[in-house]
Amino acid sequence: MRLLAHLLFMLIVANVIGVPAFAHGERAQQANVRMRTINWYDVNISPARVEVGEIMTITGRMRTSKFWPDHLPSVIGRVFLNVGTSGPNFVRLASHIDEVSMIQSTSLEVGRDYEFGLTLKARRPGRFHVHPVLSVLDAGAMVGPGIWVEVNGDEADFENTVETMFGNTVHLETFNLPIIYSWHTLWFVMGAAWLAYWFRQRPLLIPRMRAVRDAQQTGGEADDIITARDRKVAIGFVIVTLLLVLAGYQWAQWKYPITTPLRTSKVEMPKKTPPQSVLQVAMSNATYRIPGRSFEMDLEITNNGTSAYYLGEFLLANIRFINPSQKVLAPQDSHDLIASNGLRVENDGILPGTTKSIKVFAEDALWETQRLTEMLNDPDSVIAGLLFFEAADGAREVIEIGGNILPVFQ
Amino acid sequence: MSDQVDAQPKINTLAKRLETRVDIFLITAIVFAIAGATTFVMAVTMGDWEYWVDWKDRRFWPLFPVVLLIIFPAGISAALWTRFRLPIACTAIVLAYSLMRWVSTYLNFHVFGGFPISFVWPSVFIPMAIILDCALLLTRSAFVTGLTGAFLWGILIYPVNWPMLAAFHEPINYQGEMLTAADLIGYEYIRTGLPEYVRIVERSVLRTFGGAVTPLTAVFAGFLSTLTFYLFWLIGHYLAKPTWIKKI
Repeated sequence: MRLLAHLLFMLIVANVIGVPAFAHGERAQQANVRMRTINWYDVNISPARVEVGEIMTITGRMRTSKFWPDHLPSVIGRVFLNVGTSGPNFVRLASHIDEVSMIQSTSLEVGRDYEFGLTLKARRPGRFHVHPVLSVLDAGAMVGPGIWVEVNGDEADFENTVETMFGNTVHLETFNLPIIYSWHTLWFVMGAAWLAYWFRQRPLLIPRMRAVRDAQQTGGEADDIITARDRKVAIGFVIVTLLLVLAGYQWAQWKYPITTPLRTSKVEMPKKTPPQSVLQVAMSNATYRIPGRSFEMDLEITNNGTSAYYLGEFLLANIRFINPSQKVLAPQDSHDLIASNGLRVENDGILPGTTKSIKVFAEDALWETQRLTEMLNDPDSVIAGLLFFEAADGAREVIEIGGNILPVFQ
Repeated sequence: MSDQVDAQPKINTLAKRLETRVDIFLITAIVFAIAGATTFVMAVTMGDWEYWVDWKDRRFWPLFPVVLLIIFPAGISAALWTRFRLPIACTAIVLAYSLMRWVSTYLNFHVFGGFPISFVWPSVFIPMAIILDCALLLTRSAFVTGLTGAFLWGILIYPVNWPMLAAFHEPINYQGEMLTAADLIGYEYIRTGLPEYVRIVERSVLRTFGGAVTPLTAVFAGFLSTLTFYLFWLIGHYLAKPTWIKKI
C-alpha cells in the first residue's frame, strides 16, 4: 500500500512539475544499427530562434547505408520523412526528398544519396529539440542530428488556414468545432434523458431485483415489471434517435455533396545511380580501444581525380569527428554532436593519380556518451560511416566505408 | 403492538432511503468501473481509430471500434436485464465512456499534447447505445435484440458521425496534390511516433461492391456486432448468476 502511495505521489509530482523530455530515443537504438542505416549530413536547421507563426527550415542530405543490416526492414519498403520534436510545436507546411513532395510516404534505395527539406511554421512557444527523422516501416525511426530551437510569442497568435477546392476557408486549429460540440452535446443530452427516465424511480435496484426474483420463484413473468409507459417511452426514443441520425446525415450530404476518402497513395521516387567518386577507399584493421575511447582504422585510398584530397571529417551515427588541421567547426549547442578535435590522420593527403595508405584515429568522449561503445555488446561487430575528403579547390568527396571492428579491451 | 404498527412507516422510509443509497453507490461504482475498463480496452485495441481524424476512414473505423465497444455493454446488459429487467447498461456505459474520452481528449491530447481538438475529437456512440437498450426493452429477447439492436449498433456509426466528419473529407488542392482536410491536418500537425504509413486505413483494393465501400463495411460491422453481442451476453449472463455472489 505504501509502495502504491509512493508511486502515485511520484506520478502526481512528475505531472505537476512537468519535467520536459530531452531525448527522443536516438541513443536507445543499437549502436551498429544507428551507424548502418541513415547517415545524415549537411543538415541545417535554421533559424534557431523564431516567433510564433514564423518559418523554420530543415535541409540536408542523407545517405542510405549500403551496409544496411539484412535482418532489418529497410528503406526499400516504405518510409516517411518526419520531424522529431516533442509534439505539434510546429506545423509542417512542406517536405520533399529530391524535389518530390513527401506528403505521403515513399520508398528509397539503399546505398544512395538523397537531398531533403522540411518547411515548418512555429506554433507553440518554448524551447524544443528538433531533428529530421526518417520513419522506416517495420524498422522504426532513424533520427538525424538535432538542435535546440527557441520559439517566442503567443500561441493565440498562431493562424493556420487553407482553402478547399470549393472555396471554403478552413481554419485547421478550430475546424468544425461548433458542429462537433453541438452533436456531442445533443447525444449526451439524449443519453442522459434515457437514464433520467429510469433513475426517476427511487429506489430502483432492490425493488426490481425482488420483483424479478419473486416472479421467477413463483413461475410468473418477470417481464411484467416493464410497463406500457416504459414501452411507449422506448418507442419514442428509438423514433427520435433514428430521425436525428437521418436528419444529420441528410444535412451533411446536402452541405458537403462532394467528399473524398482519405488519401493513402505511395509516392514513387525516380531511380538513382549510386554516388560516384574519384576516390576509391578500402578500410582495414578497424579497432576500438576501450580504455582510451579511441577508434582507429587503416584506409587505402586511390585518387583518380585531378586534385589532392585531405580527410576533413568522419561521420557515424550522427557524430561528426572533425580533423582540426583541415577545418574548424564548433557545436551549435550542448546537444550538437561535434567532436571539434576528434579526428587525427597520419600520413594525410592523397595526390592525384596515387594510391596511399593512411591511419585514422577518431577519439572523443562522445563514443561513450552517445553509447556507441555499446556496439561491443551488439550481436554483430560491424561499423559504417561517411568519410569527407576535401580538396583545396573546394571539391568534396563523400564516401561510405564499413566493415568489421575489433575491440581492444586492455 | 401499537408501537410496532407506529414504527412500520418509519422502517419503510428508512429502508427506502437505504435502498436509494445502495442504488446511487452501486450504479455509480459499476458504471464508472466498467467505463474505465472499457476506456482501457478501447485505448489498447482501437484507440487511434477512435480519435485521430485522419484515421476515420470508410473501411476500418466503422468496423473495429463498434465491434470492440459492444463487449462491455453486452455483458453488463445481460446482468442488469436478467436480474433487474433494467435496459440501461449500454447507454450508461457508453455515456460514461464518452465522458472519459472527452476528459482524455481535452487534458491528454489538447492541453498536454498540444493537438487541436479538431484533430482528436472522439467518435459518437451514444445513439447506438440508446437504440440497443430500447431494442432490449421492446423485444424482451436477447436473441431478437442481437438481430435488431446490435445490428443497428454496427451499421449506424457512419451516419451518426457523418455530420461531424463530412467537412473533414472536402477535397483540398495542396501543393498540386488532392488531400482531404483530415489528411492535411494529419500531415501538418507533427506526430513523431506516428508516420503516415502507420495508419490502418482504406487502401485501393479490387474487393468492392460496385465501388461502395461504406455500405459493405456497415453490413459487416452489423453482422460482427450481432455475433459479439451474443457471445458477451452469454458470458455476462453466466457471470451474473447468484452462485458467484454466494462464493464471494
